[in-house]
Amino acid sequence: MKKNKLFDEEFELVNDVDEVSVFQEKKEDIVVKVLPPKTRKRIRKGEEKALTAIYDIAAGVCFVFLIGVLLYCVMFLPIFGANKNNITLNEIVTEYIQNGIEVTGATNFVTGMILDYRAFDTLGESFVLFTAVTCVMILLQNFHDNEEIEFEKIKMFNDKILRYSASFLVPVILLLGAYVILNGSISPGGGFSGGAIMGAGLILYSLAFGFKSTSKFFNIKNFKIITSTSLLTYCLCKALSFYTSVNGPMIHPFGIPGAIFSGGFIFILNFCVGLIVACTMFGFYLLFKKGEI
Amino acid sequence: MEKLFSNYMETVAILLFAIGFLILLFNRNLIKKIMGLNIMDSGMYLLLASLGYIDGRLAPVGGINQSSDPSLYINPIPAGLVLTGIVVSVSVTAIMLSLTVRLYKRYHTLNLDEIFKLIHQNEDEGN
Amino acid sequence: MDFVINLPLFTIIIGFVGVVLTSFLKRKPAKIVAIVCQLIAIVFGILVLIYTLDHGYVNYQLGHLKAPFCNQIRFGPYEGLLSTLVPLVMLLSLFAGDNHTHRDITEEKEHSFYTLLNLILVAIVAIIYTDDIFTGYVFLEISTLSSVGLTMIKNHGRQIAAALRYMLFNLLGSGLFLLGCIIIYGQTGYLSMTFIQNVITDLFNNNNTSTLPLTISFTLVSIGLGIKSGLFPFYYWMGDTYGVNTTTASSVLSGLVSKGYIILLIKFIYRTFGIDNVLKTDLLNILFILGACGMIFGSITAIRQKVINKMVSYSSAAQIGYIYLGIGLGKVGLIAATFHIITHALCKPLLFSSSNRLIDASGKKRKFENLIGTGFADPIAGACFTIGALSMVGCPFFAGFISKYLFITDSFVDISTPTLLLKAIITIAALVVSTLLNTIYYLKTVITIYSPVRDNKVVLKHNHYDVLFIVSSCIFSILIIALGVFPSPIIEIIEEGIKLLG
Repeated sequence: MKKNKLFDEEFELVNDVDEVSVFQEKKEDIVVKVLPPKTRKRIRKGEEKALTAIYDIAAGVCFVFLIGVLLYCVMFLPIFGANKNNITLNEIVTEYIQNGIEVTGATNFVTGMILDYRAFDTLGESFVLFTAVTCVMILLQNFHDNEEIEFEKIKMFNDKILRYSASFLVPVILLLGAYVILNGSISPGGGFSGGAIMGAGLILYSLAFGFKSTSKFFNIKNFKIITSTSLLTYCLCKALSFYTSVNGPMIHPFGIPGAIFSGGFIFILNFCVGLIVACTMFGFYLLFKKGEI
Repeated sequence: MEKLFSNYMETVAILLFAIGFLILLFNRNLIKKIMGLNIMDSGMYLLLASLGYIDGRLAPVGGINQSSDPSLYINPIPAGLVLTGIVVSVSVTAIMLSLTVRLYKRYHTLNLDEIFKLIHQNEDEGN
Repeated sequence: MDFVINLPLFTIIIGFVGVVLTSFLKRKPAKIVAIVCQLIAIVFGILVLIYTLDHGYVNYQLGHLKAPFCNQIRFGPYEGLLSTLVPLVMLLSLFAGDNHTHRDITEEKEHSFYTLLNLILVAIVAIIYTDDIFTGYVFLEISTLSSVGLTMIKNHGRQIAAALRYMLFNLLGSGLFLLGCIIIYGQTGYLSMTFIQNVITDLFNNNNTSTLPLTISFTLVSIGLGIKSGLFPFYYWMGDTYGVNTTTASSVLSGLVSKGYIILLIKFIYRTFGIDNVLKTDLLNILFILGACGMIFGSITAIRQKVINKMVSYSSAAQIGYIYLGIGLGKVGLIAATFHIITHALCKPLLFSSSNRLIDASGKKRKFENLIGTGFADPIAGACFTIGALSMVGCPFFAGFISKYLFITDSFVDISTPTLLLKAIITIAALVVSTLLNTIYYLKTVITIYSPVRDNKVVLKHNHYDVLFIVSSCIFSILIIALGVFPSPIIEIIEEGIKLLG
């Protein structure tokens, strides 16, 4: 029987209790919830084990069933690589390839499809990236402590080999990224892949030379200006294009297919998308590493 | 049954999906769940991309001869759809990883069940 | 060609522009931009509804060719009605939860809150209007990511863990949905809903080909969307996600986002597959049974809760069960299901906002024993909670009564075969049981908040009067009572819309 000196009353405690919750509103009334400890621990562990076992068995059954159904479904899909009886080769594919160059101006049929025929999906997709950046900024901005950043700096930026190799690799990578973005309508590539390459180049630069050198040109204000302007340009270009395709003549500045400035709006859209993706990739890196852009 | 082997690309895609799904369901570590999610997504994109392939044809780029004959190129539609899917997958991974970083800093464990146990304990004591 | 047919496109584009603007503006201008976007969306939705009631449905191409070569949006009275409801509920929830938003979210991050709200608005409006399955997938992902963002904006450990669990469930659902879409594309070669329906009808009428992959893809799509909206075995994330959120976020998530997923499922059944083909498989019966189970088990889970927020969240699971029951009844049940979508979207935000005000009155304590007598401390919140509770239970003169009445009458419209008779009997039984269960927990809460305070030591705060909350809750209450007393115009619009739907 223990006497607790804090309060005036005596109350009985079971030995070695570990689940006591004391709730006190005023000094006079105390509510003590006490359970015999060992029984409670045993019940808890038994309950947990039973629940985990049920979850595992149910999940296992669902998994086996789902995969069995999907494998059964694969047997009914068209034969891989066949071109006879292939129901997916219909008039849409013929239209995209036959008239693709005249209508869109892009020699790369996939770019012509995603930035011209099915441009609404790509608009939604750019906003998916934007949502991701917003959410990551909500979570990670101003979250890290300053001491951690200083320690990381000391640990990382003393590497001479990294600096030497980065000093000739980074310009080449950025140039490759710019080439892929600009040639999106002519050869394989486009805004998304080119933007990812440029983002990787920027990350390498920041790893080798430190945060101060990148924050000269990439801070939160520039980031917001670049992403907002690119998204607004994309949105308004596509709104104009959709509106004029229903009411009135299409505005479609063409150029010669095969040259860089061809494809009408596709060039501008590729450029915007490339900028957004590059800034987003680098922004993710900075948010995870440093806690702010 | 032979169709499973002649459609080998799709079968492998479903197997990748199965491996990723298995990791997502049964592994308790959050980082491994995210990896499982990525593998699952890769399986789905392989399935989608393999719907477009046709034997003996070229990639759908106009190229040097700039020919517009549809019988020379594979189906470009699944390629465009996979592009959208990859972007979605990247965004999702970024958000999940940042959630994991915050949760680890707060609860010092990567096990989602443990985290919920700690939360319910705090709730019972506090509220 | 009238200018009105461009309005859905303008709603989406103005929403997107609003999203970009709120991302770099400060708190007050961002709120004004969000409110303006939602007002514009309400006005455009009303204009589209009036136009389509006269002229029938409109196919609007987004690109220089018609479908199936380019994207297409398609709208009729059904889409017009729903696209008026969504921004209206969002605007009123924004007003009702305004005080809590300022209190719960730090000032630097509040503009992101309005960004995410606008993103959800654009995503749900685009899902309502879309005529293309892949566009539906992309905007589904936007709404998933922004609803996860809304859940974690409060930045405490509990919210972030809830957001993670919500996200895992949602991604599983999205993954299954995408698999279903891939199989549909592999079987038909089209992505546009009208053309897919033609090919599927041919495949079903042709006895040589097997329709098993299409059945499997429909199952995958329904289970994927069911996981995301809270169908029977998959609703356990609701308590944590809706229960710990700030008021506006809970109202929007439970009232609008899950309905967006259900509307996409309705579009799949009626426009992509075609109701006749779906009836040839027996998959609607499965949705029917899961809906009936959800009604009962959701209510049982709600009864077991000790905290008012979680009780209201789990009662959402029961209401989603009602909607799936209606979808499972086929074309006649769709009227009841749509009416219940409207009812639930109006009642749930009212319940969440008034229960959060009651929690404020009790000094931030959420358990039922701490809420005794708070109905007197905050009379308006108490009255609103009572109105919402009576509507959910199904009291006459409230909207909930009309939707239950519609369920019963619609299930008995066609009882020619034994299956249909059995379905009608199960409908009545499930409705009776779930109404009893609803009464238990809702009326218990109403009695609790209106019991006199016997304990002298408990001190209740009197909340200061909040003009925005009073205005929005009055508008919600008026709409609920108006729907309960004069439901005919809305029912006629829904019937007209369903005729043009597929």
